[in-house]
Amino acid sequence: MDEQKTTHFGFQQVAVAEKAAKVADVFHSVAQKYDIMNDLMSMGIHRLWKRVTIEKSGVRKGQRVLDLAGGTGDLTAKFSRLVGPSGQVILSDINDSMLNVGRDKLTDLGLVDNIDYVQANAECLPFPDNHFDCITIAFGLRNVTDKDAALASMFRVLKPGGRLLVLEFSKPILPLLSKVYDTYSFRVLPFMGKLVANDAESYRYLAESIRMHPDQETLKQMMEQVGFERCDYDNLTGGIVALHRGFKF
Amino acid sequence: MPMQPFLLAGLETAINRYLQLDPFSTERLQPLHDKVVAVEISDWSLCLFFVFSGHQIDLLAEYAGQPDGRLSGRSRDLFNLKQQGGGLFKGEITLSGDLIAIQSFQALFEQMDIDWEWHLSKWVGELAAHQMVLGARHLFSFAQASLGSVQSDVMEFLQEEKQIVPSRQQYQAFEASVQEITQQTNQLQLRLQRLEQRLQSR
Repeated sequence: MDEQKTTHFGFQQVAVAEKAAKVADVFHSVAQKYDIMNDLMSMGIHRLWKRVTIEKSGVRKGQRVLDLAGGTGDLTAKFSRLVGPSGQVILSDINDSMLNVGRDKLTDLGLVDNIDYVQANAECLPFPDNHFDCITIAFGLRNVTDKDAALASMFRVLKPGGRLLVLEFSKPILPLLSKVYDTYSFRVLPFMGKLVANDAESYRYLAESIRMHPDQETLKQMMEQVGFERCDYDNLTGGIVALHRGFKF
Repeated sequence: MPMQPFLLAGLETAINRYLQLDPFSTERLQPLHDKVVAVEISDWSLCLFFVFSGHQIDLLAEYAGQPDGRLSGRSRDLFNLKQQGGGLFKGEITLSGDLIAIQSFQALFEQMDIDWEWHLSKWVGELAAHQMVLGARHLFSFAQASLGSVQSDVMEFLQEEKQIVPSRQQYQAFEASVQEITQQTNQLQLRLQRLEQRLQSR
């Protein structure tokens, strides 16, 4: 039955079973140039979005943090320093290429004591119930096939009192910004992808997947539906990105 | 998006780069490993959290945990801590928590000793670097001397010529008389209270 169901992969409709493999191909392709492309595409602003995420995480010494779809480990690096030697950070990604790049980068930074690496699918996390003080998923949720299942899985592994932070591209709240952003995403991004990473298609998928991702209010409702409480969100850079936050009580 | 993350990111990078210029800063960072020091600037309503780990400092505006040490005071007193020294004893700066961590935090920045000549020589060569540093030192001492002289001239003009502001002696005499009046008023108030109590008891 599953084979007959379809889901979106950018603007295309593909069989549900195929989406994960297609997303994996995109990230295998961009893994090595991921960081430099992030800096170029966002003009460095992704670092500020991640900084806001860290500030809102409330993470402190001795806590256990899951950086889901953590890619090349930008958040993990900071969390590792915040939780200190008595805490633990798990960098998890479904894609082994991204995880390898992340592990090499963090090892080169000398961050080895309190970081573990787990290749896992966000829809069925291989961790015990009530295990983490904080879970973050930055620019990862839109690539997950079954977002509801992923949010439910995160809810299960989060400790009571813990919080989930979803940093993700969203819908710009200013009409003019929206037009500029559309032009930038569909014209400039694929061109930059071609120029720097020699891969225009992956960056076309990036722009398309952003448009297919639920808007701020929809994502907030999805979080509430799986059990998160006190859900709210902050629009960053005019809503180009939104940071959603929800608690498990 | 507010400007704060942008400013904090800039400040964090600047501090870490600055510390890297002094090879001995790594040694001074060791006692601070895994410590969090909060600096509360009361007149700016701002609290910055310095999270130390190895050779890196992370700067946060929000920290959910309890910092190991806390330093609070007005911006002027905190920034002039090294020059004034006495701020701590006058009660202008409040310290709480792990005092060793706070002392190490203070020492980290106070004991910075950057060999600018060596750093510059990597870019422009030894001779040019030497001349540049020598020139900068001359310029700095000249600026300091000029500033001191301008300050003293302006002070003299305002105090002696225009008589707009009081001299230090006049100010101290006035402060002493205010203190005396305060003391006398307090004593009078106590006497009145005692008198009131006597009248009530009769």
